[in-house]
Amino acid sequence: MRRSVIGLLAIGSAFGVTACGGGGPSSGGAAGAKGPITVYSGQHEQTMAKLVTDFERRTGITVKLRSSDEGSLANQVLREGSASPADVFVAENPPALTVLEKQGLFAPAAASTLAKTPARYNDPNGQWVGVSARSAVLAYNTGELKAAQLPATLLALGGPQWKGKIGFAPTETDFQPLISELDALHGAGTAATWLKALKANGRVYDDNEALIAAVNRGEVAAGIMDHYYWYRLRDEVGAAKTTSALHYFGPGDAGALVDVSGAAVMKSSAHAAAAQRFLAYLVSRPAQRIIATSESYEYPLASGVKTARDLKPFGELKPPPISVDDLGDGRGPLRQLQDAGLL
Amino acid sequence: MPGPTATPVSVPAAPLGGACRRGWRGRRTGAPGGLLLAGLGVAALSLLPIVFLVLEVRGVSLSEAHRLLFRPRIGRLLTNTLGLVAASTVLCAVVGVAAAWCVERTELPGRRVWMVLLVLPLAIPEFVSSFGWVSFLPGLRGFGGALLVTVVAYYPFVFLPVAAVLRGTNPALEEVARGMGLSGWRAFWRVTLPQLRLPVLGGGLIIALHLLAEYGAFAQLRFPTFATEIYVEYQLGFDGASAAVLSLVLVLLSLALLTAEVAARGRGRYARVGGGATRPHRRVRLGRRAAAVLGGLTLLVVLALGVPLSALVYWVLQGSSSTLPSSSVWGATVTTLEYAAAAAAVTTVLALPVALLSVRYRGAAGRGIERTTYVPRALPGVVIGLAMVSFSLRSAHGLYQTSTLLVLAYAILFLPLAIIALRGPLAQVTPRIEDVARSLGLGPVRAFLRTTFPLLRSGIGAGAGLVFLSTVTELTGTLLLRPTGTETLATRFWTYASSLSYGAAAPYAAVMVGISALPAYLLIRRVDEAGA
Amino acid sequence: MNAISLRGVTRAYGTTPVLRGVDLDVESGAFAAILGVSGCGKSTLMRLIAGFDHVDGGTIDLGSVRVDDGHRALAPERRRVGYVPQEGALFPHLDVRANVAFGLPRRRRGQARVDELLDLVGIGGLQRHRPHELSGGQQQRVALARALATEPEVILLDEPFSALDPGLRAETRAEVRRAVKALGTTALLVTHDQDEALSCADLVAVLRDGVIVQAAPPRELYRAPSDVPLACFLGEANVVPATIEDGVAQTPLGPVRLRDAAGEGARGVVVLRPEELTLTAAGRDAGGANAEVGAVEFYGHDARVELRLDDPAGALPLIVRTGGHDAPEVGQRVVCAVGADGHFVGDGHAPDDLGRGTGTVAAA
Repeated sequence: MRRSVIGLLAIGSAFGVTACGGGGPSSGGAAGAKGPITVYSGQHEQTMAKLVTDFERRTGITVKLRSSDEGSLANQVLREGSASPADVFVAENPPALTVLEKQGLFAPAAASTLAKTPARYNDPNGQWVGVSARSAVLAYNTGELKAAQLPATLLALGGPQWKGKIGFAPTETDFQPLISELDALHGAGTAATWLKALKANGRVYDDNEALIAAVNRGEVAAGIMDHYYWYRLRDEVGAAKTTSALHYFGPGDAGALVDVSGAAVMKSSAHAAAAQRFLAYLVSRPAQRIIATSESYEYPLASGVKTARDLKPFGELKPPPISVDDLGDGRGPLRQLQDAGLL
Repeated sequence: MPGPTATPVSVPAAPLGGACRRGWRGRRTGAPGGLLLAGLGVAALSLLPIVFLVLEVRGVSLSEAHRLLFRPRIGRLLTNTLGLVAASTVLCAVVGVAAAWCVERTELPGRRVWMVLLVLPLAIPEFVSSFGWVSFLPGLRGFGGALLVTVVAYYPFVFLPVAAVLRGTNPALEEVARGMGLSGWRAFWRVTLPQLRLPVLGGGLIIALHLLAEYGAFAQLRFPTFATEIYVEYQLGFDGASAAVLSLVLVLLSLALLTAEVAARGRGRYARVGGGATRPHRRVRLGRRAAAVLGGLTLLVVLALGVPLSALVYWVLQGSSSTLPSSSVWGATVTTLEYAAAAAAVTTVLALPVALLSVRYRGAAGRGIERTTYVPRALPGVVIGLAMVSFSLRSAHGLYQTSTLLVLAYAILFLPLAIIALRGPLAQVTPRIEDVARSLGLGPVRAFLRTTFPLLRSGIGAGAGLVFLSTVTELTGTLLLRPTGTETLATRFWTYASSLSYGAAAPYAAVMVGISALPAYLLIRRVDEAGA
Repeated sequence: MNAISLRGVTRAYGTTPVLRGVDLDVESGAFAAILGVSGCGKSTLMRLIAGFDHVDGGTIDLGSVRVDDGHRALAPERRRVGYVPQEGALFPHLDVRANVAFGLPRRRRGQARVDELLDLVGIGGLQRHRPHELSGGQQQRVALARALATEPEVILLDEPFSALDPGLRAETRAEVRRAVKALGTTALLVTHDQDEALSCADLVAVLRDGVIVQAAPPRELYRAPSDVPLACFLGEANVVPATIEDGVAQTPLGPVRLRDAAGEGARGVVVLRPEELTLTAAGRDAGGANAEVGAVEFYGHDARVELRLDDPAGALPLIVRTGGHDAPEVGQRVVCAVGADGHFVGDGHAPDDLGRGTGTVAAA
């Protein structure tokens, strides 16, 4: 894949060089069944790389993987529009998918693919399929807090007893759905009030990696984030040095949000058939098993595959009755964060 | 005999006819047309990101722009950004000048080693050093933390040019001042320091622009600036327009900085007058102050090098995720070297006409062109990256996601480094030698290549070295613009570090620091040559 | 034939005119000098001839080739004009040998040719030296050898001796003139030093305020300058008011015979060099005018004496050079007479403020 840069420059007439991304004309016939396909992925790269290798081995379709952070990738695809070299877009959170879907950049996912995962975790319009899931949690330092002190609801964290004890990373893409969720469950304005209270109570962190490390050190007593950050930290520092634990919010609470990663086929794909096969593969049993055993600590979404990790069983998660579509495209929460002075 | 002998003597001395024979040029004043054209081309390249930024802002309604610019947070961002730029630049200047003076003008033991140690922080990527700091001092945050981390990371931008000038200036100047009855300290203040004005301003400008664009370190240290805010806008709102509005604020700030630097530079030109070989300076005996100077320099090196490097070592040893295939380090290393070499070569070539115009033809055009190339330095990599994405998709589709486009983006980002490195040596070379070469029968390009160019070696080496270092550690633009599947050391480091696999990430950072040894050597040679 | 021919050359920088219509002809094989104070435009003129700069108006011909006509200009490398700038501008990264061989095509860069050139300029044996290891005079000679190597038709010398100390200057100057003459190359020297111009050039052109005020062989220029400021610029001069009567100039010093005819009845001044006046002790009847010695500068071989002439129109100051052996004392009464034919400059050429008395070099 890697081309010699020097060689490329030596060629001189740079305009003759085509993109490595392979957005060129289809070589696999009208259906484009043979690929190669280009996958833009904002997902955990190591897991994605495993999935890609397995897919290539099973189908013989070559996959070019472009991993980056989800926001940059989504912005990139927004600029590319119908000229995108991407065949498949994989995102960590629904808002990125919703943004691109609104621009009409996705092709509908095959019905057979959508059927593999619970409908509530897919796009209601059938444009993208949920692949894996994460639960919002409260990570807390076991030296600082006792289990009895932990709140049942997300809203409770706005209370005075949490002053100076709560950390959060408002710029993380995991945090935004919580804002949409609060308004959807408790009415408009709830989130705005809660954000103000949280800002007064809490400490702002740049990302969840920094937040979970701070919680584990005891720098802050508790932090709002997705569950897997804690597991990854435990892997890195070892169980002996893990002085924190996870707390799940009560059933149906906004804090019990289950967030999904999803994937879609680009409408502009010249290898649509191969791209659909990739989507189908992501929710197939072998792929879901890879997710179930991966170091990304996410829940597989396809029915019949259970996580092999020591996570709280997926069936025991009790998310509120909100559809992924209600989470919006991220612009609403962004504005609320700006208005609250957090951005 | 070369060409000129072929000029027929029989050509009548009549008014020139219509046919334009080879060797005849149209009338011109000031800079030669070819050079001006090349300079304008480079300036146009630098303006590309700004043009696409403006195009993007056009989509923002006035009321929305008002809401974005006049929300409460902007005040804080402005205070943070400007306060840090001012404080950090001034401190970098103080630290850089002090360190350079100690190394160049005192009987410091092991000067050569100190030189290397004091330059090496340039080789440490900002996301590695801030990561190192945060791992050691988790409480480090806000203004103080940002100030500490940026000062120890960026003071070499002042240290290097100042050391070169201290080495190259005529010791007689200071001796004359001492002879006129000035104390050592006052002689430094009134004679030496004014000679350092240009290198300090040049280095300070680079630092200030860099701080405007800095993202990684401030994100780690939780110190919000315009640059971090721009990232968040892209990340959360997928909103290019509002990020572009904030980016334009950075453009305005950079223009203000550039104007301020021109004003501060004044009409000063401290070229060495008169010829003769440089005598080495008499070094100040440190005596009882030796302990203080050694202590100070040691502290600086520990802060700038020790902290980030030991964080790397710590994570390699402690991390449980350091199970990586060595082939991936090797592949990423080769790719990184190729890109860095290509970027260094292209950027230096592009910098040459701009530096020539600004040093030799100090008209409005030359200055305008030079200043234009500095503006993109104040923009975060993601802004340049996305603008280049827009540009190539709209106007040069064949370039999209090619190495060529990525190298061009590196050139836009790092041109000022190469230009500033060339300015000093270029000012020392008299254009007369090119005149002489022309009169000896060489065309303008050959005359430049055979006379001035060889004399710029050290400046070219230093500029290429800085660009090389910066390319090795560039992340955000690389993520956006690289060909799909291309991995550099920086993208690999990011992949692992962003999933908390610090043990796996650390070797990539270690290699990044390691391969920066050569450019660091080039930078030190520039200082050596200044004294030769 | 003329090797260099300028007609009406003008050049301005912005709105400041530097050259305002320069005419100049230099014969092939001549050693010419352009003399002028700093800032008079002489370096600009040189750069125009070399082709580093282009004229706004007028023409420049080199031999029979028109190299610049205000619209198009021949590139410097095609003019066959050698150039020796101030301070030599040797290529600092090359040794002496490589400097001299720089303009030669590869096959002619042999040792013999370089040796020959270095011997010609009188510094054989320095081939391997670096420019910074040479003295100022040696640097200039290398620069000359380098310029001569390509056998140019014309060689331009831009104040090449100004950075040298006086002793070295005369020696280097003579060496350069000898080398240039030996090759028959036309040379154009630019200088602000009157002695330099007068002593080594066949033709001296004086550039003032952007025009050539006079171009003539050194003797003619010195003895018959076209106006008073020029006379003073070329050396000390006594400027004495005069009226032409009976073909001689009537002056406070008595009648003075003229070298050139002047119109009867014309008013103006006579220019007399200090060495053209003689002094005798008062009382001896030698003819001339009575005067009192104001100051004496004694140099041994000669002396410079300042006088105040007893003149009904006011005390006219005069300067006289006498032999050192008979220099008068301050306050002594003397008789001053004219010992040579004078040079008359009519009123039309004499600005009021310079119309009387002694001129100084700086007056130009």
